[in-house]
Amino acid sequence: MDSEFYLTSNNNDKTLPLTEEQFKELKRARKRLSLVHAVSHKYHLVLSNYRIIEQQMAQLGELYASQYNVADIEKRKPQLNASINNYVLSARIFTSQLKRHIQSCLPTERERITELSEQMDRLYQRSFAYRFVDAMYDYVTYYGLSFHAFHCQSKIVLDEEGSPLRQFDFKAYIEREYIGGPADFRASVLEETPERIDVLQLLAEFNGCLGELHTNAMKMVRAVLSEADSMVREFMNVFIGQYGAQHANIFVVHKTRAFGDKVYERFPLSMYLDNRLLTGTSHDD
Amino acid sequence: MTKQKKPLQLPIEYESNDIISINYRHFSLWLREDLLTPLSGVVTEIEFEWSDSAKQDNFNSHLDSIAHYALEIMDSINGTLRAENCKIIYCEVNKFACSVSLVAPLPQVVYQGLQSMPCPERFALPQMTNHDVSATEFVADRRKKCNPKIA
Repeated sequence: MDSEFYLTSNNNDKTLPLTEEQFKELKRARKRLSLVHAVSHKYHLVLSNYRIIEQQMAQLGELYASQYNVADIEKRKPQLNASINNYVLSARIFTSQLKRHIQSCLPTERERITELSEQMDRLYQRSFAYRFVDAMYDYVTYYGLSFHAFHCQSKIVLDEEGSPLRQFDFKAYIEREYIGGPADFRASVLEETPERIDVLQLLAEFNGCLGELHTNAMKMVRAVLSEADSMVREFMNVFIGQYGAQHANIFVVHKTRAFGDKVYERFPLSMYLDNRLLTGTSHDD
Repeated sequence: MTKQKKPLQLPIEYESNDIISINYRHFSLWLREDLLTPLSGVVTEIEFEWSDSAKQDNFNSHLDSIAHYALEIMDSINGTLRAENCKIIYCEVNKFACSVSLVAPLPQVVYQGLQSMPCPERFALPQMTNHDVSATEFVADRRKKCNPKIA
């Protein structure tokens, strides 16, 4: 089979030939980079959904404090519900694929996957929030409902000059009696569920659990990540050295005569060096 | 849907609690502790049940205006009962009724004052009950309802 391998700029204007060996190495490196980024992106999906929930809670809290714009309240309640649903779904996207991604990055290190499994088990044993959000996935996918009640309190505090000042506190709750069960919810979790759960507090604790998983997973792939990163960077530098930085958006192409001289495979390369900048996930928060 | 003309202005002497759930709503206000403790007298509770048409309106508006109505009735009572040592210590409102509790030197002060006050259209005729507890005890007991579970 006659195959041709090369690097190309975005507009196919400039090309640089590759050997089959180099092509395979780049393909493996690209796979690893994309998987590691996928783990990070999914972690930040969860954190970003949490931020959105916080913002929506603050807005709803203000609306309930003034009770002025009822139409706005009715509009924002379903939006908050949607955000909490999204949070729960994104949490499952992260936890359900974490092991698969790490396994694909480290195909020969099965003991790493065992280690991750054990860590997830430990989190499940240790944290009620981890168990509850895990069980909540079935509930929200079935009912599309992710909270049941609001609680808006205000108290008076005295400021520095002794003048009274009103402070509001706004919370969203999941109530055990509204979950129903045990058929509607994982029985073992329902049994230990308190009468009501403060949603933001629950999700903040869950964020902490995912943070531990994410940190550990990143530690496992650090070596292959840096190896893949520097190899791709090396090829990019050669390409840029030859054609200039304006052609830095590079793709890898595999052409074969067996398909009528068509492009058999084409994948982006430089985006995996840059996409942390794009999505702002270069710093853990 | 009822549109309120202005934002809820909670009187600075009172703290508030509002529970909003799928099939209940409970809004309450109570006098700040520093103002409540010195009060003495008889605790009288005036309970206004919603009129039938108000119940329907409240249902249609998801009970979103009941806190405004509670403040209105407090204003009316304050405007009527100008006697000294007569003070609203607690107010709660839900889908059944709005109840306002006062401390007065004698229950008669409240009874007589209320006689001269026209009953707002959205309420049925009020029921009055005297409570044989101090203002502080009364508020502490009612504030147990601030737990969403009990309301």
